Parts: sequence; C-alpha cells; structure tokens
Amino acid sequence: MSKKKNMAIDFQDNMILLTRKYLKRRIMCPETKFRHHVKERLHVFDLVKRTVEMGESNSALLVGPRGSGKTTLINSVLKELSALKSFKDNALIVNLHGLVHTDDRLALKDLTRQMQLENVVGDKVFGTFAENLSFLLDCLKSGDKKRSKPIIFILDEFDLFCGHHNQTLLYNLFDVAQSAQVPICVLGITCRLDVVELLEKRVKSRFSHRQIFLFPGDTSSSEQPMSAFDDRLELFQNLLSLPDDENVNKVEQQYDDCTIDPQFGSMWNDYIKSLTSNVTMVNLLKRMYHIDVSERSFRNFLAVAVSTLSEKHQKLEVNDFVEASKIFSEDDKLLMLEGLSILEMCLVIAMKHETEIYDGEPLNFEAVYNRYIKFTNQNSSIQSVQKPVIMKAFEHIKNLEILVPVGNTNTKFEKEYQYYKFTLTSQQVMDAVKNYPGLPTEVSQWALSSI
Amino acid sequence: MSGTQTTISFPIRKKCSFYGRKEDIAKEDFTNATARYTPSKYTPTVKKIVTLTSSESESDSDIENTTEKHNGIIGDRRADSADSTPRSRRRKCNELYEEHTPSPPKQRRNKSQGRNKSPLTPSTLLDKLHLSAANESKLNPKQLFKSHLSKEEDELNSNLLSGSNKYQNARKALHSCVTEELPGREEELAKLQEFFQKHLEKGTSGSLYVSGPPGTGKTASLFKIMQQSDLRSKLKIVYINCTSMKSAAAIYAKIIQELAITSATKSGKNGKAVIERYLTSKNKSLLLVLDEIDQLESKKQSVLYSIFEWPSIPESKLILVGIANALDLTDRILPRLQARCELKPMLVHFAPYTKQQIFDIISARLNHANANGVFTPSAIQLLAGKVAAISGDIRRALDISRRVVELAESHQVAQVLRPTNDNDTNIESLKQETEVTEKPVDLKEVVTILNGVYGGTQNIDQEQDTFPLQQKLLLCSLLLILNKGRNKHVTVGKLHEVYKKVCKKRNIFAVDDSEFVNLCSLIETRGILRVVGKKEARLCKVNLQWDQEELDAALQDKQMMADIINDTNCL
Repeated sequence: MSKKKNMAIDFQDNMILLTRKYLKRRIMCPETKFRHHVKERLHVFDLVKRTVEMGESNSALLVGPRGSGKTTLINSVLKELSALKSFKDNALIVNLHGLVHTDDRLALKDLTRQMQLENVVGDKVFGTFAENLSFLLDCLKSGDKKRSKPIIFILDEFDLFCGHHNQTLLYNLFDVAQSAQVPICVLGITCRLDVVELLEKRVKSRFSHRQIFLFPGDTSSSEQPMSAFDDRLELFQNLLSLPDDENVNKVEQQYDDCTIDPQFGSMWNDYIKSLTSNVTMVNLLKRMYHIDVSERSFRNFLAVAVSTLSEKHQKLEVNDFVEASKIFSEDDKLLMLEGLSILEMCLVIAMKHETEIYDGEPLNFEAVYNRYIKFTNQNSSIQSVQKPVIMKAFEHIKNLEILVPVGNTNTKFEKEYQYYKFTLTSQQVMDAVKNYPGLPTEVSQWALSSI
Repeated sequence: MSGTQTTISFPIRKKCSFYGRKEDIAKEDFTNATARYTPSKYTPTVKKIVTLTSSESESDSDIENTTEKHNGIIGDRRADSADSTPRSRRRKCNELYEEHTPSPPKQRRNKSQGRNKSPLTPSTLLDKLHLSAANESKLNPKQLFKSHLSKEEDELNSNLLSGSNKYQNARKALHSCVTEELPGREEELAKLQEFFQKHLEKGTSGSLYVSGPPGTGKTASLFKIMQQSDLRSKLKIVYINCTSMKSAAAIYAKIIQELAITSATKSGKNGKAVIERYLTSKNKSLLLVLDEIDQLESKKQSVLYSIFEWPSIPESKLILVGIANALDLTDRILPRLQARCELKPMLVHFAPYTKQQIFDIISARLNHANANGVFTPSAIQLLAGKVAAISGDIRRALDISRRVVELAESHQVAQVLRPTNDNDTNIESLKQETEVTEKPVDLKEVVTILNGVYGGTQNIDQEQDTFPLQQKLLLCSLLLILNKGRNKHVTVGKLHEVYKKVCKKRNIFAVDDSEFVNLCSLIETRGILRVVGKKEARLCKVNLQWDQEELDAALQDKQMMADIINDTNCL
C-alpha cells in the first residue's frame, strides 16, 4: 500500500520535471511555426518562389521593431520552400549579417565562400578585395536568367550595411537584381523604419522599393479577427499547455524524448485554461501587454515563471506569475540605494535637497558636505565623521553613477569643486528611504522635511 | 565568425590576374605550366588567406560537386593542350578567352545566344564529364587559382518553365532589364550619335559628360550606341563601372587590364604613364566609358583631372564619356577644365522622364509582350503621373507596375474561373470590364502604399490597435510639453515626470524609471521619437521625429488622448 503511494508520488514528481523541461524548451526555442502576418509571409514566399522558379530578380526589405518576428518569418518561408525538391536543387542561399560582416571586404569573402566560387578552396578565399569583387561580379554577370542557379541573399541588420564605404556591396547587389543577369533575390532585414533614407540615391533607384512592414501584435491578417489582447491570452495558453490525448502523436514526432502522460497533460491543460479566466492573472497580463507587445519579452517572463516548478512546487499559481512580473518591473536604482550605508544615504538625501532647492542645478561636493554638516549639527544623535570619510562616501556614490559629471573636465578642477548632476528623482529617494532597513528616524524625518 | 589569419607563401605573380582576359596571358599560362614541373624558378610572394570557420555552408554540397567537376573538365582541357604544340594551344586559349571576355553587364543578353554554340557551354561540359573524371585528382588549389577558368555560374539542369500566362509575360516585360529601343530618348540618342560621328570621321578625340538623376536611361542609351556595328568596328570600347573601384587610383590598373597592355609593369605604379603612351601610339582609337564617375573623387581631384586631360594630349585618339548624377559635376569639382576650351567636356543632360514618356515606355513594353490587356490606359496614366511627379525614375515606375501586376495576379487566382489567353471578342470585352473594375483599385492601393512609405511614415491610425496604451500615453505627454510647456527642451527625466502626473490623474498604472526608458526606445524603433545622447538615460534629449501637428491630429481622435494633450495642469 505504502509502496504504491510512493510510486504515485514519484510518478508525479517525474511528470513535473518533464513538464518543466518541455515547457522551457517550448518557450525558449521558438519553432519555425509562424503566427500571424499571413499576408506579409505570403508576399515574401511568392517573391522567393518566383525568383527560383521563374528566374525573376527581386529585392525587398523586411522592416519592423525588434522582436516582431522578421527572422522567424524568413526562416519559416525558407523551411517551407526547402521541402520542395525543385527549390532545394536549384536555389543557393547566402546569409550575411551586418554585425559580423562589418565591412565590404569581410562580407565579400564570406559571400565568395558561401557561393563556393572557384577561387575558394576548402574554406579559404584567395585574392584581394578588388580581385574578389571583380571576380564575383563577373560570375554574376556571366550567368543569365535561364541557366544559372538563382541566389537568395539574406542581409541581416541591413542598416549596418548602409554604413559601408560608398555602399559598394549594396550597389552591386541591387544592380545585378535590376539587370538581366543571374536571378537573385536580395532580402534585407532591419528594424529601422527610415532605412531607405540611408541609401545613396543611385542605390535607392536600383532598389525595388518593396518594403514589407511587420508590427508585433498585428492580428488583423489572421483567420478569425480578434482583439490584440485576446491573441496574447491565447498565446499564453498555447505556450503553457502540454500535449494531451488529441495532439500527443504530433508532438512526439517533433521531440522524440517527450514522454508526458497524456492524462496528466489534459489535467494540466485544464488548469492552465482556468488560469486565463482568473481576474488577477488577466489584469497582470494586460498590464504587461500595455507596456510591451513584443513576443520575446513575454516569453522571457513565462520562462521565469515556469522555472519555479519543482518537486515541491507542483503547480503554477497566480502568485508565481506576479512574482515573476515583479522581476521585470522592479526599479534597479531603488535596489541599489538599499545597499548603501547610512552615511551614503544621508549624502543622497542631502543631494536630493540640494537639487530641489536649486531646481536641478548641478552640485558639487562642498555644497553637499555643507548641507550634511548642517544636519549633523542639529541632531546630536548622529555622530559626525571627518571630511575625508565623507569624501570617500561621495566618491562611492559617484562610482555608482548616481552622479554624472557636467562636462568632462577631470583635470581642471579640484575634486571637491567638480560639478555633478544628480540622476535620481526625489520620488526614488523617498521610496528608498521608506524601504531602507534600520534607518534612524532622524534621517527619515530629514528626508521628509523639504529644507 | 572567428576568423583566423594564416599566412602562407604562395607562388603567384602579384599582378597576374587569376582569370584570363589579356591576350598575352596565354604565354604566361605556358610558363606557369612549366613552373609546375620546375617550381624552383619561381620567387614566391606572400598571399594572405582568410579562413572562415563557419559551419553553416555545407548545405549546398551538390554545388560544390558541380564546380569541382567544372574544374576537372577545364583541368582536362589544359592537360590536353599541354600535349599539343604551343602554337595550337595558344590559338585555342585565345578562342577560349574571346568567348568569355566579360562584357559590360547589360550587354550580356545579346551575347549569350552566341555562346550557346560555343564549345564550352555547360551542357557540353557536362557531356564530357565521364571522360575527364580520372583527371580530377590532378588539380590542386594553387593551379586552380592561377588557371583561367571560365567563370560560369552553377547552371541549372532543368529548363525553366516557359511562361504562357499573360500576367507572367507582362511581369517579365516590365522587369527593368534593358530593351532594344528606348522610347522618349530619341533626342539624347541623336545628340550622342552626332558627337560620336563627328569624332569618328575626323579621327579626333573629345570628351563627353552625361548627367541625369538615377533611372533616366543614361547607361542604357550609351549601351545602345555602343552596340552599333560601325562603332564597334572602328573603336576599341572599354566600359568601366567605377563603383567597383576600391580607390580612385585603382582606375588606372583597371583600364590597363581592360586594354590588355602588355608593357605595363606588374606593380601598376606608373599606370597613368602607360595609358598615356598607349593613347598616343598607333592603336585603334579608344572609347572609354566611365560609369558613376563621381566615385573617383580624390584628393585635389588629380585622377579626374588627368583623365579629362587625356583627350587633349596631341596625337591621342580617345573619346571619353563620363556618366554621373550631378548636372554640375564638371563645374563644381573640376573648375580648372574651364580654363582651356578644348578641355571642356561636352555636356548632355538626361532630364527625368515626363508622364507621357513613362506612359509610352510601359505601353511599349507591354505591346512587345502581347500583354496590353493587363493594364487599362487610365491605370498606366495614373501610375506614370505619380512617378513623374515624384522622381521621374523609370526603374521605380517599372517596379510599381510589376507589383500591380502581381496584385492583379493574386486577385485572379482568387477568382477561379477566368480565361487567361483568349482572343474571342466578347470574352475579351468581358475581361476588360472586370479588369477595369479591378485594376485602378489595385493601382491606387500601390500608390497609396508608396505615398505612405515615401511621403511620410506617419500613419498612426493604421496601427491603432497594435500601438500599446502606455506608449500612446508617453506620446501624449510629450505633445503636452511641446504644445503647452514653456521649455521646449525635453529630457527623458522631465517627460517621465509629466507622464507620471498624467497617469496619476487618470488612475492608470505608471511604469517606473527603467521601464520608461525602455518604452522610449520601443517608440524610437517606430521612428516617432529619437532619443539623443548615450550616457545617462534620464538626461537624454527627446526629439520628435514626426510632424508635431500630424501626430497631434492623429492622437486627438481619441477622447482620452485629446483630454491629456489639452490638460495643462499636469505640467
């Protein structure tokens, strides 16, 4: 009897660990399954497909804020296309990244390597920049629409390519795309909306002006229209649900080591579903949604919540989510202030008074020191310390970048007279005073009294 | 990507280009071939090699195979020719190079038909494949680098489907590759023709500067002139696009390479002198076309000056043509040319296309492809008018029209039952009707997209639901300060204070400091704001990128936002 019970618990424990593993993978590794933006995806899909099948040359820019799924879109398009045999045999994909290929020389080398041109041996590329460029161009120009392999160029962080000298690479790529040469498709990915303004006019003229905009949370193009927040709720439920009876087979094909009991899965799913109708939960999600609509930060938040699961803690409570959200909305400056000593806290309060009285004018050490001394003289319980010690505390505050120097004149002034700007608001100081454990009452009263 | 740099000694002459173009290279090739057997003759020079250690490239292993096969074949050819007499090899090689002289970009299409018959087409190469398989192992990288491989792309094995669809034809016709005739450029062509004729007849040299905004057919017109047979026979034509030059001085080396001057030193130091000597010697007169010539700007413009001075050298036979965008380039950066009359280049300006010209071009192209039913005349009119008003760039007009065709095509796919290629009159008229109702709508759509993109990115209405509430509140606070505040200098810190007051008044949860900075940067990615300064977030200045009134109008629509914007108490 007892053994049986033990086994049941073991089973449960095991399930929880598996669940945590499964959910974390699901949240942190976004699969190439792509949600929403149906129209945009179709546009890119058509473009790439036509390049490969018809031999047309195209160029397009994918523009959208960070975390709006630009790369995921491209990946899903390429994944779907590479299932076709005609695509896999014919097309050649070249990936370039603006952060890696910081100038045209590096980009060209890697381009040559990825295209497996004839001056590549193994992974080495022979020749100088000029030779490589003319070789590449001759290669591209000697091909024609009918017989050459189509090439798909994917330029990540496209705006960084615009900073290259004379935009040589971009000019040449777009020029090939505009003329009757090898069919190529240039896809740029960027998060700058004004990226076309960065292009030189000759490059701009050759670019096809096909810009595809992606905005996160845009659900207008999905099958059944719903409000943007409902979609977020659905994503929440979707990401946290386990494979149950209905879809267990599909999932097992994806991950071969997923051995979650379907019964447990459906129980878990019901619980998650009940969470989405919980008022506190919905309010929390709504508040987070109002701050940031991108999916990536939402996934990060869920990952923190899910990682609280353990043998001892077998269910995701609403409280867990609230705790996780606190990590994201906490003010780091406040936390920093709580770690200061009482003397440093007093100096911070003195600085706060100083900025309030003189309406945001820069302050120096002497002014803060005088204000502090005035305070200690009035209150006998606070023991006054020597000036060098206070200076030390002041420097410590400076190193935390609560103070930033006005103008970078480090050598001209004595350090007592160097002017600084105070970067905290009085509200933050007051919060810190409230939260500080064991702060003497005189100090907190001093912080409250405005002068 | 971690790039490790290794340096190995590499027996190659420095100036020897690794793909043959010069006629004399055949000789060099021969010496190379002997050098393979007696390598001690060669003084190795140092070559730098960059190893790219990235693992992602193995996806196209089949391509690697094909290129290797190519190499194998060509290696085979070389091995074959090594057995024959040097003379015959040389002839063979010359033939090979003539076949594969890289011609200027847009000329290629006309030449490619001739190439089909050449012994080196990929299909014939592939036919030979079995014979040469044994020789593959003989090739090593160095040989490969030195040898004069024909630079063929990896070819497709399967033939592409020939498009029967009307829309496909239209799309193909509207691609911006160069066509035979250039409607709307008759005047300029005549001018160019006259210029060339004059100099050809007299045998004199002269210079010409062609200017015009991008997309007005400058390069295409010159190519058309250069195609003419009498010009081709009497002149040696060199076309160089200057954007592929690394520096201005590299142009000399390029010209020498194109001219195949044998006496040039390997270092290319005195390239200018070599070219000048060539110009005055007894050669065919030379037509030098320099595209994007403003890329050659250098210190004191010494390169451009010397190039423009070449035609005035006595005895030189050079017709120089420079192409660039700026109308006054020669006056602005080359004022010294004004001093002497004979130095002053003749100017030809290509004006942006007018509405009628764009209309003519598009309809001419559609006529060619037998696809005139695709567009209604009014649709082309509208498109031409819009593009002519904005830039007069024919590339843009063609691109937009291509996108309209795409849109129409996708509509057509949606309506399943429709004849595509039928000349029956009543069906034709019916089709016309449906397209009349369908086309202009599509066109407008595209034009509004373009206007939205180029006229201003500022359409918050479209993204109303996707724009988070807090970000809107932030913008409202910013507008409040800008409209009503005394101090127009807005920092992030100040904006946050106003924002907090606004939130408190409306009883909305206000985000705190660090989150607020995050919000600002999120809005920045939409292009509405720009936060200037890097060091301390709170002291950064906030600049509004959009038009203030336009944003104001967009946000005033919503009642709450309007209230906030007009609420001066929160300041």
